[in-house]
Amino acid sequence: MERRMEISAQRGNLDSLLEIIRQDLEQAQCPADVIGRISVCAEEIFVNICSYAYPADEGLVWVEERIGKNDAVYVFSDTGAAYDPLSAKEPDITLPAGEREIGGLGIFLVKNLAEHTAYDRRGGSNHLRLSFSWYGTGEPAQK
Amino acid sequence: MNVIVTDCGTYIRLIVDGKVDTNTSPGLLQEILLAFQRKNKIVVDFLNVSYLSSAGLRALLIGQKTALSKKGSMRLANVSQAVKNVLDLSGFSSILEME
Repeated sequence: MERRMEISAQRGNLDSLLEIIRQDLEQAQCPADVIGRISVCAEEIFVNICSYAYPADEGLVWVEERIGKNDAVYVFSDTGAAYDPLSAKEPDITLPAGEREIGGLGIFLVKNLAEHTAYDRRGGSNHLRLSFSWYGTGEPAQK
Repeated sequence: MNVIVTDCGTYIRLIVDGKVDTNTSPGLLQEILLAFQRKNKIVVDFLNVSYLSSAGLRALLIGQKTALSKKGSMRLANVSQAVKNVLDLSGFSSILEME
């Protein structure tokens, strides 16, 4: 199945986005743990766009969803300033709590929870592509 | 998300119910900081939490830093596998105490 969503880049829309994604994945019999992984990634990317893509005014986020039998691809697009979140400095996750920086973990989680991530700047827009796959029902997911 | 606060004498137990995400984690952080104003030991019970994003990690890290500054402790209880995966990936399993 395929779906294309156009959403105002406002955090208040997060629950609706995640609910649509959850329902679509459940319909495709995607395992619950993979739905959890995809939901965390969708939240991180959507909130990242809400926070940084449109500092001056409101903007839109486009989410393309393609769900196959055992895989799913999500492409998040915005028309904000060129920015590749995948190039952000990675947090040092080996530091003790007292030395940890607060924040910076969202994109790190995405890079580790999605199987493939890719950024592309085309036609004045940012496009971030995330892909996931899983084994058939009843078998453990790959990640 | 809902948080039930229980005074257990030597510590405060926060029983969390629901998703800990961008929109709800400020509420969890507020309850953690309020609890640390009353006692220096708290338990965050994730019995009914199956979803944690980086916003929730942020709240937990601030809680852990607060525990250190007060020479107290913050322990996580009843962590689901989905939440544990996020804690493991982010290196939080090694900096947070878990029951």
